[in-house]
Amino acid sequence: MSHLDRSKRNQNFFEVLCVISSILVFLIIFAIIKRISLKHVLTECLNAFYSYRHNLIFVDTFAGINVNLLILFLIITISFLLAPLRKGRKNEDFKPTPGLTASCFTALTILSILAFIQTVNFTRYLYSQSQAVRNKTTDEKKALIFGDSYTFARFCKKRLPGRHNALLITDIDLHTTTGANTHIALAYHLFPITIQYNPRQRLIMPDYVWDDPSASPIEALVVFQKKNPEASVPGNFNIIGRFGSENLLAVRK
Amino acid sequence: MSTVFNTSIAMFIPLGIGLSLILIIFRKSRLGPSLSLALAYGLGLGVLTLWMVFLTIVDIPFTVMTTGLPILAAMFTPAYICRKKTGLGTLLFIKQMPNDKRPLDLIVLLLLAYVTFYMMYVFWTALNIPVHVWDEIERVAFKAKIFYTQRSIMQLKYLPHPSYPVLIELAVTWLTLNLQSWNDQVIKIIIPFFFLFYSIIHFSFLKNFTNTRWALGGVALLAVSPLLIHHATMLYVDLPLMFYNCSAIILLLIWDMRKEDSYLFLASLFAGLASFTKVEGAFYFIIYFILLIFLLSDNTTYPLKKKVRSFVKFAIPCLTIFLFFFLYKAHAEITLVERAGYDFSLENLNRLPVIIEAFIRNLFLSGNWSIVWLILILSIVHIERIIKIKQVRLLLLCLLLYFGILFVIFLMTPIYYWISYDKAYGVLARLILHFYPISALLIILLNCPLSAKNATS
Repeated sequence: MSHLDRSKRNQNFFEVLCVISSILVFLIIFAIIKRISLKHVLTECLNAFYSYRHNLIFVDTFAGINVNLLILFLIITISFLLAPLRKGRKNEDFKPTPGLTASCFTALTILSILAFIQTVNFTRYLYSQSQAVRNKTTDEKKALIFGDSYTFARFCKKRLPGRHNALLITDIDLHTTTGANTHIALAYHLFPITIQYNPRQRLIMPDYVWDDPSASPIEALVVFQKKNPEASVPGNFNIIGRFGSENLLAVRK
Repeated sequence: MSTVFNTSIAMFIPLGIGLSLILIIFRKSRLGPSLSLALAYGLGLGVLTLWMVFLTIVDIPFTVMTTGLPILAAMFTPAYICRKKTGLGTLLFIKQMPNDKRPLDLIVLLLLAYVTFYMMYVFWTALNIPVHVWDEIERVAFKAKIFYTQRSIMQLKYLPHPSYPVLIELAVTWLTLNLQSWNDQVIKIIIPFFFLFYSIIHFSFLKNFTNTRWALGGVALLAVSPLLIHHATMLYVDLPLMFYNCSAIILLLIWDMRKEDSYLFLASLFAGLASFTKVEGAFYFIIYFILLIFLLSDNTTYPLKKKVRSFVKFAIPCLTIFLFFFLYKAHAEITLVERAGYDFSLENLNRLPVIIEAFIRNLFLSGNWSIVWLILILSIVHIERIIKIKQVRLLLLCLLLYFGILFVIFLMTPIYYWISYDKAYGVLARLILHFYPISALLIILLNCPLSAKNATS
């Protein structure tokens, strides 16, 4: 490695140390102002940067301010500190603009720290998930995730194997998000017993269709989470299975 | 054990189809084995699923014998002939570039460990947690289950969102045909492979410009996004669309660099397959064509006739794939387009503040992308790099076009509903995911030390 490369590497290392030290100083000052322990602040930092299971990942707030805005504030502040160190440092690719290159360098360093924190949290999450599903079959995992939407569907398929056209009778409001989620899970696990019609989707999109118009008449009744389920079964249907106090399966006589 | 074996066969056949096609397409030049494999995965799955639509048209039920094996057999001989002519290229995974003084230093090892950890996380989560999220079930798994049961896609018109493309649903159906029974865990394996193979394409592209450390940094920027990692563990179609979409852009840029029509043809196939993955893929045709027009107009060596020929060479394959499924839907009396209304009224300008706020919240104030978009904004101040490197200008153009398309769609169509209410930004995040890797490419290209060849170009 040439002298120039070694010197550049040393300066980069020194600047990384400056960034990390500045962040620590900021956190210490924050802890003093807020009168909380540094350990608590560091724990909050560690917990702030992950959310594994959503299409929109909200970040926490720190003293009521969005964490990303605080990071932006940090980048700008530290760039002002680093800019004098970069002054006069020649770069073949672009003109020396110490403040701007310092901000890029600072942001990339902070990103590395965030990536490290995130990885720690992902590791913890991976561990907790692996413990939760350890030694469980796919069946057991589905029962854990879906509850009755899976176990009752499994019960129905055992009692009534093969393809059948069924009607769902339930007290759940299928027009709500939760109700619609329950409906889709039940319909999915019941298949090839079909109860596809989705009321919530039809409410949002009137042309939403999920019923085969040529389907055969209703052959079965799937009564799920309904108080007094027997009262929902008309005279021309036989009850062939009960699952708990609110669920049953009936077939046409 | 048999599940592992059957899954391997199910993955091997589309890879084999894709590799055969790659050998035929690149018969006049060499493509490295890792890049070939990465491209082969997307290409093979696409061809296989298009074939499955064809089988439905000619009323032949899906089986392993009718689906995968005929294509593989048909490809084998021409691929073998092409292989004998050109060879398979170097076996090294990481070629030592001239500017790679010490390719395996500590930072490279740390980045490799980082990327490897997330690959393992993604594969473990996908294979150990069954499908359970709304879109996984309603959009993909339920449809695939019905296709598997019926051994065709005849029921499509009675299913939710019948106008939506079905590449991933058919890929899941294919996998299940090999497994011979439905498995809510194993079917998800398709998605992590999209992430893995796109990372290889991403890395290979960056290696044209810089050293291993920075190219790996580009891959690490993908893994830094929690949203991307989340999608790589789920049976959603957004990550596969990201694969096809960004690969098409990369292949177009490589075609411009190398002037080999094989890349142009492959880019076109990927663009077509993007439209067969998700509805948005068809909208992205506008971006591919604009990019191509820019590349052709900037090209001073091609005569006009050759430019027109190149344009047609790109247009025909991608439009053929798009029209194939579109015409099938028309023939089968399936809804052609959903939520197609648009409205040019001036009142829609009232939507602007909401749309701008949604973008700002999603890009800069959410945890979806860490601070990657912020770093991109900071990196854009390297004006001389933008002036110096053509690919940077073109990637910036693509990025602006993607945002522009989304803006226009939210401004003029009922899809505005999906970002207009509180906490509705999940939809926008998924749309941004389709082109998120372009931001990672730009950050690296704007900040990295260039290879000697690119530094003086």
